[in-house]
Amino acid sequence: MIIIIHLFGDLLSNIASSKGERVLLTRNEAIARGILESGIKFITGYPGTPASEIVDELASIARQYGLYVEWSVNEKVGFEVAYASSLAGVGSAFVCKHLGLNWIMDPWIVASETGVNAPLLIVTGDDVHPYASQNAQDTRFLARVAKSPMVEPSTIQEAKDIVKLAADVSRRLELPVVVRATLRICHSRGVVELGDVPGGTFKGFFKPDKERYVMIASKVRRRLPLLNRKFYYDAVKIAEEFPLNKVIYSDNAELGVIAVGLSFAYAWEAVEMLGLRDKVSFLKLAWHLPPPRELISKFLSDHSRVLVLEEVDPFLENEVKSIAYDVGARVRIFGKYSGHIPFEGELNTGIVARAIARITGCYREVEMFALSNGGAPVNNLSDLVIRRIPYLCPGCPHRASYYSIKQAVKSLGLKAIVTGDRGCYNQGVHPPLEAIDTCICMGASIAMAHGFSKSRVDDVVIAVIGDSTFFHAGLPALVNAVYNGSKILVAVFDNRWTAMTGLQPNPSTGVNAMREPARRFYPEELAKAIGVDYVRTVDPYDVKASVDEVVKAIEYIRSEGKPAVLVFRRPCIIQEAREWRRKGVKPTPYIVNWDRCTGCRYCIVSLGCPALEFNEERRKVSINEDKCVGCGVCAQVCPADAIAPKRGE
Amino acid sequence: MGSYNVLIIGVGGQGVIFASSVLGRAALNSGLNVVIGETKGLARRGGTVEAHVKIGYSENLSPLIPPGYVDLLLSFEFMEGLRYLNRVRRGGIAVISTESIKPINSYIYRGEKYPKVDSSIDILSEYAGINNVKIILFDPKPIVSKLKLPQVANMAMLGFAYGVSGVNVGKVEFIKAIRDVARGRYVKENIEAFNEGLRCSENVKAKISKPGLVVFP
Repeated sequence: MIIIIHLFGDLLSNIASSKGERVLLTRNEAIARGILESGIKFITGYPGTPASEIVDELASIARQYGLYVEWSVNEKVGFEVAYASSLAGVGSAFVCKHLGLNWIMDPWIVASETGVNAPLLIVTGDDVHPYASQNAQDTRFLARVAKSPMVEPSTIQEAKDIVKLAADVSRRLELPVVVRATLRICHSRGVVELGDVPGGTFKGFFKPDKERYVMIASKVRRRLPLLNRKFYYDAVKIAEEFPLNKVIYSDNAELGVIAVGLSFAYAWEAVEMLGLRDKVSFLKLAWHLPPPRELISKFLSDHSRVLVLEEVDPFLENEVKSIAYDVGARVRIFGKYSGHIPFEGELNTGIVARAIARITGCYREVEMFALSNGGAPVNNLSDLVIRRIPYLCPGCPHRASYYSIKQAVKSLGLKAIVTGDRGCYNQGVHPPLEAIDTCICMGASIAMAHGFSKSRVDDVVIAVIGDSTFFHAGLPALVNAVYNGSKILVAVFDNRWTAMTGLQPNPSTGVNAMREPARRFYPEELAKAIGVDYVRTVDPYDVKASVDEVVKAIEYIRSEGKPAVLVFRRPCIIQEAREWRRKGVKPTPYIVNWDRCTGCRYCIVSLGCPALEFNEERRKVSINEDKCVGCGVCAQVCPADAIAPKRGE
Repeated sequence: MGSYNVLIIGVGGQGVIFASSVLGRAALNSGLNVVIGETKGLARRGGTVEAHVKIGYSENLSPLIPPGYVDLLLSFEFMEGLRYLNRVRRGGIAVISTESIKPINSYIYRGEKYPKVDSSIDILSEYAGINNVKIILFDPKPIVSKLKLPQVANMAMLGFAYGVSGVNVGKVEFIKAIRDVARGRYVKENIEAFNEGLRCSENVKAKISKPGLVVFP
C-alpha cells in the first residue's frame, strides 16, 4: 500500500475534501470533483495537455471512492470502453484533449445513434491557442457532427457544477454529452464550494437489443429520426432551461453581448473597465450546442446591436445569425466576420474591451493597453531580452539517443530523413539538436517513414517514436511497414512513461492508472511478433554502443531492404529523480577539468544540455551541479576528455 | 479594474506555482475572491512560467491579466522580469530578482547575449521614469544563504513584494497560507524566508515612494 501511494509522486489530491468546504482548485480538479459528485465511477482517457490531470486526480483517489479509472492505449479504445460501460448501465466519462476527439469520431457518431443507458460524458480539454498541440481545431464542429450536446463552464465553480448537470442531460436524452474546457480554464485556479459525493458501487448489466446495438445500415436508417428528434428538439428544449445559461439585462442597453464559456468573464471585466455596466446586457451561454433558440431570439429582439464572443471559429456567431434570420430580428451582429474579434488565439479582457469600445464609441482607458499591444517601445529595454529555446531535461535519455542517431548517419557519410512523433522527444526539433524533420500527429512517424521510403528517396529514413505513441498508433503502421516491405529504421525511445503530459503510466510501465501491477509490454517483443527480423535494444547513456547499433541497423536496412527496430531504453529522468528522492539517493554530478577543457563548446553545441554552462571570462565550460544528474553523456562526447564524475569530498 | 493584479514570473523550478498558491490561499483566507491563471506548458523544458493572480470582490474574474493592467510584477528571474515589465500599469510596481538563469542559446549563438544586471540599470531607470513605474531589483541571495536553502528564494521575494505593494491581505493569513500550501515540506524555512523578505521591505519603503529604480540590498 505504501508503494502505491509513493508511486503517485508529487500528486496529492485536493479534490477529496468534504462537502461544504471552500477550496482553491484548478479547473481540472474542479471537473474531476464534478465527476465524483455526479456519481460517475467509471473513467477512461488518454493523456493530453490540458486534460491529463482530470484522470490523474481521479486515479489517485480511485480506491477511496470505489472508482474504476483507466489510461487506455489510445482515445478510440478509451471511448469504446466507456461507451460499453454506459450501455451496461454504469455512468461513465471519457477524458481527452481536443485532438483525441479526432480519434473517437468513428465510435462517437454511432454512440449517438444507439444512445446510451447511463450518463456518458466526453470531457475535452481544448488547447485553442496551442501551447502543446499541432492544431487549434474547434471541437464544437465535431460535437455537431456527432450530434452530441455540448456545455462549457465560464467559472471554476461552474467547471464542477456543470459536470453533474451534463450527466443529468445525458441521462435524460440518452445521448453522450460533451463537457468542453479550454486550456485557460483547465490551468486556472479559483474558489470552489464542494458538494456531496454519492457513495455506493457499480455493477454492470447489459440487456441485448440487436435492433439498437448492431449498427448495420438498415438499422441506422430506422434509428436516425429518433436521434434527430433528440438533438434538434428535445435537447434544444432542455437548453432553454439550462440553469447555467444566464441573461443579465441592463435598462439602457446599447449593446447585447452573447458570450460562451470563459469569454463571459472577459466581457464582464471589459464592461466594468469601460464603465459601461448600465449600457450592456449579457447572455451567458454555458450550453451552446444545440443552441437555445428561443433564449437567443428573445435576446436578439431586445437589442439593436449584439456582439458574439467566442474563441476559435465563429461557430456560435453563425448559429446566432441563422436564428436572427429565422425570426426576422432587426439587429446588427458583431463578432469575427465584422473584424471586432480575431479568428485565432485566445481572448483576453483587453481584446474584448477594444471590441466593445469600437462598437459603442466609448474609448475610456482603452489607450492603456496600447502600451503593450503593438505600441512603440518606450526605450530599448526589449533589446536586452533574448529568447529561451526549449530543451530536453538535463540527463534526458532522448538527447543521447538523438546524438547517437546523428553521429551514426554522419559516420556513414549518409543523409537521413528523420520522421518524428508526438511526445517529449519532439523537443528534439529545437537547436542545437535539430534532430527531426517532421512531426504531425500520433503515430505518423512510422507511416511517413514508410511513405518516404516507398517514394524512392535516396536518404536513409528513420522514424522516431516514444513508447506510449508506439502503442497508441505506431503498431498498425509497423504492421503496414512490414507487410508492404519497407526499408526504414524505427527508433523506439522507450522511457517507460508518458512523460510529456505529466508522467502517466502506459503499457511500457508495468503499472496501470490506479497504480496496480500490470503486464509490462516490450516494443521489441511486439516488433518481433509483427515480423521485424532485425530488433535490437540499447542504453542511450552508452553513447558508443548506441552509435554502433544505429550504424549496424542502417547497414541492415540498406543491404536487406527490410525494416529494423532499435529500442533506446532508459527511464524518464524526471521519474528516476523522483525515485532517487524517495530513496534518499543523490546522483553524482560531473565536473569539467579546466586544465583539459579547450573551450571548444562541442558538448554544448552537440547536446544542448541545460546543465552545461560557458564561462565567458575563462572561456571554459562548467557544469551546474544543481542541474546535473550524472548521466555522463557529455563526458563521452568531449573531444578533450575533460569531463569526469565529481569525486567524493 | 476591479481586482488587484499580481503577475508572478519565473522559469521552471523557481516556485512560481507555489508562490501563486500561497498568495491565492492568503487572499482566500482573508475572505476575498481569487482567480489564478497559469501558463506552464514548457516549465520542465526551460520555458517561462506565468501565474496571473487576480484578487478582488467580483464574482466574475477572468484568469488573465490584460497587458498594461499588472499592479504588481514579481519576477524570480532577471531577464524574464525585463521581458514582462511592459505588462505593468502606470503607477504599478515591479519586483525583479537579480538571479540570472541563462538559456542554452546564450552559450551557442554569438548574437544572443544574456543581459548583465549592472549594464541594464540605466535602461531600467529610464524605463521607470518614462512609464511611471516603480522597479526594485532584489537580490535574494543574502536571505537564502542565511537560511541555507536556495528553494525558499520565492518566499523571500513574496514577503518583500507583499511589504512594498498594496496586496490587501493580512500577514497572519499569509503565514497560514504557507502552512496550507507547503503541506509539511520546509514550512519553517518558508515562513522564515517570507518574514525576512517582509522585514527587508521596511528598509526600502521610503525609497520607493516615487517612480524609479531601487536596487536592494
